[in-house]
Amino acid sequence: MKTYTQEELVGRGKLELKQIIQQEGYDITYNNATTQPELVTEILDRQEKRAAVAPPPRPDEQEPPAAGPRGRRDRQPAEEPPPGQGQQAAAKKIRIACGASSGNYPVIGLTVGAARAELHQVLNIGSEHMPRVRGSQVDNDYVLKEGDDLEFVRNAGDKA
Amino acid sequence: MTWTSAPVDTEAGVVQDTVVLVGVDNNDTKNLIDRYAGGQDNIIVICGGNDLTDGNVQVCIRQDGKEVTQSLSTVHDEIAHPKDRSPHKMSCEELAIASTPQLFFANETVAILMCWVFWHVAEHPSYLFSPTFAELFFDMEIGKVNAYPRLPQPSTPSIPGATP
Repeated sequence: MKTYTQEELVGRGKLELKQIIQQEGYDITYNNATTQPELVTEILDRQEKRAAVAPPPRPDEQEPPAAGPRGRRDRQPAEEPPPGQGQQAAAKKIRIACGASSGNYPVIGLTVGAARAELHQVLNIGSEHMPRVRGSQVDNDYVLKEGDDLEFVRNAGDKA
Repeated sequence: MTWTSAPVDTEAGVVQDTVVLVGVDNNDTKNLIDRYAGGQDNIIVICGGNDLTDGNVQVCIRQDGKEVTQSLSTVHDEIAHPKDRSPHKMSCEELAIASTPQLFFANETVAILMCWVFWHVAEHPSYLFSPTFAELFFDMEIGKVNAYPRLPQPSTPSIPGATP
């Protein structure tokens, strides 16, 4: 478990903050309307509560300090999974995209609905986003196969 | 074939062989333009829109009465079945309530991406027959732009149970 400073959190985007919430297992409810400052406040609050009940980590367990004045140098594309285990592993992954977010994920054999549930926070997939496999609309029961690519079509921008 | 750019004449409609740049921010109007474009033999619609920090640009090309890329509403169900209303159908009070904060940088990004597409349309004749992309999504939060092809799907889908 990692503890973030307010400065580190303020320098991160909403998607990264949501990923932190997932990684750390914080019980924080949010939706697309939740603002970045609200997420920062909630994470800091959960960290304080966790620190109050947990013993401090041993020195050899502590994470190295984040690089850069705002902790941004260590940013990774939030939606990309960790580096693959070689070409064989990459071949067993399917590209999943939603709007500007995308990545390759090991979801062969899963239904579209299961992939949606698994990745809805990482790729910011809404329940209204229609799934398409290789350009054709499919339903949530479709089972993903090798060679497929899955897109959840994000709504067109309308300043709503 | 010569393409021209002309303002929309609501009485006469949009003339043939026109590039239409759409920035209307409501699905009802996009639906209207999409249906009109679907009846034209040769037309290009470049439609951009954004929310606070993300957005998209979609290009629909029709050549000789056939789709080169999918229509706005084929890809976007919210345009096919709009739940909003065109501003000209709304009262001043409704317009004021519907107004949301806007970010200059997001508006500029969607305008520039529309220019990317227009540049392809104007400078690369092959793009009109074989576009490398027909929709762009951007997200300032994660610093990315994704491109999608949006080619017309065969009438018999290759995926069992899929809708073209």
